[in-house]
Amino acid sequence: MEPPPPAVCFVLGAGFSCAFSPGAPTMADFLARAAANGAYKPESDHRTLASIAEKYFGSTRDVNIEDLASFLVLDLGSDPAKEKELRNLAYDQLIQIICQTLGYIHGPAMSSDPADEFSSFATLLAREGIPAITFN
Amino acid sequence: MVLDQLLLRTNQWSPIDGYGVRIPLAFLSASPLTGDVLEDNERIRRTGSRFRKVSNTILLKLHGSLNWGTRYVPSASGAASVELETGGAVLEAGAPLLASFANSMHGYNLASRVSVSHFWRPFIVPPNVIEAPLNTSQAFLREIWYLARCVLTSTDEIHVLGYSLPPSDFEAGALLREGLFARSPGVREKRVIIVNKDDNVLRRFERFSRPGVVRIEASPKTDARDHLRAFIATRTHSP
Repeated sequence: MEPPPPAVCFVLGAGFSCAFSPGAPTMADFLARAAANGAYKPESDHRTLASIAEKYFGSTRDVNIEDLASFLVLDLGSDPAKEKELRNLAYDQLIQIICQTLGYIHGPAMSSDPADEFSSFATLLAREGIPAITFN
Repeated sequence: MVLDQLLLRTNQWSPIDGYGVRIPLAFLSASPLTGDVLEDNERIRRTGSRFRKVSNTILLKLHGSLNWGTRYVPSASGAASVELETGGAVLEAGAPLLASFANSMHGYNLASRVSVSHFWRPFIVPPNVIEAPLNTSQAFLREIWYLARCVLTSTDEIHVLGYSLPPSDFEAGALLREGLFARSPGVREKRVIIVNKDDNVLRRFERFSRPGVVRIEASPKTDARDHLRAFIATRTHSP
């Protein structure tokens, strides 16, 4: 008697999205790419975020957004100087930039027919009840 | 959001019951939903949480999702739970923005200079903050992490695509360790198949290798598309 087929699951990271949309940004170049496509405006709309990035990471653009997001929401206690930085507002700005940038990147790919292997993959997951876990 | 969109197109998965946990619908939406999704949305609003089961699989998003959110102002009941904006899982054809954010942020469009959302913050949790003090949102997230551990425990073939297991992601490392080494009846030696062009990723996963329990191997296909193609072929041809 043949053994039953293996129970399968998928663990997906940012590389999966990058494979779907060639040219998708990585965590490391996200802000630079967002600035290039106009979603991130460090000199105007997103000055709060940009000044924190510059102060603590040495750059307004070359910052890993995962590190930046973790930094913005980590609670290490408060002081008046930190209150002035408006980290909550900066975090909101970062989320907005992420939304807009992902819209730019994945929107066109999603509005046309996705590549066969990705559609077939999703169909397979749904049909066979294969769970997926995502870290991105 | 990529896999959400792809699954949605299969008509065998819905954001309403496909995330492993039941998420209340956001009531602030005036989203340009159409067709079944709108009807579903309206029906659920009228009838509470009752809905027919659509999803045949689960998508466990361990760091939140752009179509989940929390209100800045608690609801009338005082709750500050995570809500689901169904429209967020539907990209407008040809539009550069995710649909939900056109509604949940005042004046949020390409020309807008409004830089923050006013009443709904997308629920995304950066690494290393999972263990922040427990509140409603974190309890919600813990349930998803718990389900992920169950999935890892009960499966014997795990494909890892595009996830690099960065050394700083302690929670992910702990989750994998618990999921891989908890013994579940009927589960054979686990195969963890790494799909990544970076050899360092394989080396990071190899610390989980244990003879007879967990086998870490590199996929012959380092490209995610090629790996998916090969996987689909094996499932299509298997009896």
